[in-house]
Amino acid sequence: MSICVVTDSTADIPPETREELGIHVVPLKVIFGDEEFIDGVTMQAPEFYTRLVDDDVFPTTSQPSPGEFIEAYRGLLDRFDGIVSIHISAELSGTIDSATQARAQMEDVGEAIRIVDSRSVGMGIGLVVLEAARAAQAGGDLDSVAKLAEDLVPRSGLIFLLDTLEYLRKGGRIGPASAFLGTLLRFRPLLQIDEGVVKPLARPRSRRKGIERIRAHIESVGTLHSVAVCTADDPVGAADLAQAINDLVPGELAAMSTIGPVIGAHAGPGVIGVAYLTKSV
Amino acid sequence: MAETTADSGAFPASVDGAGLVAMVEASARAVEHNQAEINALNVFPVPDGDTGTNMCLTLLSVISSVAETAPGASKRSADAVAAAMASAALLGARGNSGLILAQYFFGLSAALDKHQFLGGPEFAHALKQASDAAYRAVQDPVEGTMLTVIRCAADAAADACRESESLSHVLSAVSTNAQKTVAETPGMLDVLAKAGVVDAGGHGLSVMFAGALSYLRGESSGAIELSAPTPAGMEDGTALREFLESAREVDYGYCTGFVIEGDGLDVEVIREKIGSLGESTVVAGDAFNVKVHVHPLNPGPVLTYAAELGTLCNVSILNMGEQTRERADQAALGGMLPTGPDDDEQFEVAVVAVAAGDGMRRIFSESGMGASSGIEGGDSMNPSVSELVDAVEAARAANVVILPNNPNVIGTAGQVDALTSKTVRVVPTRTMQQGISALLAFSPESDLEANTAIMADAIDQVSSLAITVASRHFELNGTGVNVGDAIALLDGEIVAAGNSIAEVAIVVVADSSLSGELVTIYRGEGGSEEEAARIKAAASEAHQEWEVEIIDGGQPHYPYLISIE
Repeated sequence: MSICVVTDSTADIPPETREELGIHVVPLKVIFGDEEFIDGVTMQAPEFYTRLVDDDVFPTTSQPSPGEFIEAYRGLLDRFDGIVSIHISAELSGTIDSATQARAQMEDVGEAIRIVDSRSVGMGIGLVVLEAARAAQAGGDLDSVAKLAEDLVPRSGLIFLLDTLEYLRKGGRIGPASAFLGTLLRFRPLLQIDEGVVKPLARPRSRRKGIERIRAHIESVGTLHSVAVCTADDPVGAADLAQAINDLVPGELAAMSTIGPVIGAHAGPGVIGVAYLTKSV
Repeated sequence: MAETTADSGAFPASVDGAGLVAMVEASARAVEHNQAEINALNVFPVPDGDTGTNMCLTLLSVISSVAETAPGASKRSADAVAAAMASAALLGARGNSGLILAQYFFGLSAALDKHQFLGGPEFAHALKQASDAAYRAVQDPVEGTMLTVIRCAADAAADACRESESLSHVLSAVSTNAQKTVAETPGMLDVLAKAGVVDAGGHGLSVMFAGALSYLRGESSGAIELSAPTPAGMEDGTALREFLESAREVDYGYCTGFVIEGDGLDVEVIREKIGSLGESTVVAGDAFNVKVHVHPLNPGPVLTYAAELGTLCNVSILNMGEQTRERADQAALGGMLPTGPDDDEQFEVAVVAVAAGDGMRRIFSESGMGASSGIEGGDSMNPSVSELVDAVEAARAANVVILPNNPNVIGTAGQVDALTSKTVRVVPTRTMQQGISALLAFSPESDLEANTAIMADAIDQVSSLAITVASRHFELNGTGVNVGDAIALLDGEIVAAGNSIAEVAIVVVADSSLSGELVTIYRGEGGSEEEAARIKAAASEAHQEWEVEIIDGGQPHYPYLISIE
């Protein structure tokens, strides 16, 4: 039984890895005023962050339509027996909604499609997708790959340091992290994804303190299976962060991942973070 | 599910009556969601802070009326729905902004006459009709208000139709344009520039368009957040607070609104007459129903005149002076936008901090994510045990951490646990700078032990520098220091003395052996902005990698309290 793992462009999976593991990505859209771009196709991270800083208009984002999912699923089911579709938290995007509607309209083959809510974003989805894709390539069947993904979701964590809360606030995804608004003092918002939403974690005064705090958090989560360091447009900050947690990481650190335009529109520039999967208990 | 036709972009190209209802519902959700901010922006024509509420109520009355009068089948056709909405909006319009908003619905119904579907061209036509009607309805139209926003939106819609006739495309252009126009309103209306805000009604319209667009694109039910832009330099809200203070003195009169139900009513004649009896006149309607909105200093003559013409319905008279003074009171307490937690909300842990100075007290009250309060320690930073107990009882948690911020208060604070049923711990901060560092480490959802530990750790992360004046004679490194000389204390020890406050502060901060990343200068009584700027410059020059910030602490005794982290 051949299985294809599908995800969306918010999973920030590097193109080479995508090819290597045969992962299919359904893209979201990024909109600047009335110009619409396809995430990772007609708009890539470097030009996005340049534009984000230079442009007056705040970009918005939109999920793929059910139609786009139907097209992707049908095309894949010509070549594969089953699909495990792993996506950005339903609390942060309507992507899962679209995927679910698509499957409902494909009554004849709906059984062959499993949809998994990662309850996360960025490489928080990515690390789960990578494991599922490896299992699929190794010959796993629909049930086992889907179950693997579902079991990994609660073991996935994401913690990130922002420059400002403005983008999160304007994009409407700030959630419980809104508790940090109203602080009269200068700090770098340190946030985590928990229960599918963005939650406040700490208010370090500087980036350096922020990196120390991230390390303290990584130390406290238990035995690690895999780790990915990610950044919007700050390779130096990412390198500092990678160095700070290096001794905690099992084996090789997963390649530096770039936070793509869709997440970037909501998090802003200057973001650095860490996604991790813990080992099962 | 409302019937829509999709274009190649997979967003609806047009909607039928039911779709129109859904879009207006989405707009209503958006306005409701942003209601507080829209209220907070309200300075023109009267700063009574009710624009958001009025627009929200107007929209809600439109929706509930349509639900009653346009059942099932007739909802399919856009013209029937739009007509019902226009009539409901006129009758249910609240305030100045509500009545102008009613012209938007008038525009929709005029453009949709005999149309089943609302597409791009119909929407553009509707905005043009709405704009014309709105300018007519206002006795003295002013630019920089909702009128400008809707007028520019109509132009943008007409332009967008040339590219595509899809409703989604045109609404998207309108939404973007509205946000742009709103940002420009302070440049068009002096009072907005003075108060440092964009126009409230204009922003409300912008929110409506954005909410409808978001729904149309399938992104949300309309309950989006759209922050109003703030004119440069006005972010701290001081200009608005000052404007509201000055508004206390103005006699704005009574916000008077009603509907005249009659026959053969002449809207233009009524508008002229009402315009002579008060300010901010908006009159709209037809021969049978005329909605009037005006701000007379005395509502008597307005009512007497109108009552002669027909029956008065939905009469509302509000004393705007009362509303404005109340709002100025609230603003003076700080925190313009009511985004705080409910009064009943309870946390796992709360913080009570001792502070001196308005600015410092505000920092402690507003930087604890809703779970902290700063109590005034007075000149000696020394509250009594009972004051501490009261503050702990009022705190929003059963577990409370006290930040004494003064070595003399640490002992007193230690007595509080035994005097209350709440569980109280003391994190032994000796200065307000240490207290601030501890507060930033605080997390209201973590447990008491975790918080106490992490807050205590934070004490070591900061060096506290105090610049003040010697109150007694003593020796420092073999030199005599006299009463009145300036002295600097670093973590409680005198490290420098000199003739002037600024000179002593500069000597310490410029010392190259001092390490840190972030320096905050809290300016207090006896300190000046100019001096603080000089201290900041000296610090930055000596330490290129430092970030230096100046905050108005207002503390007594210490012209400058400085934290180095």
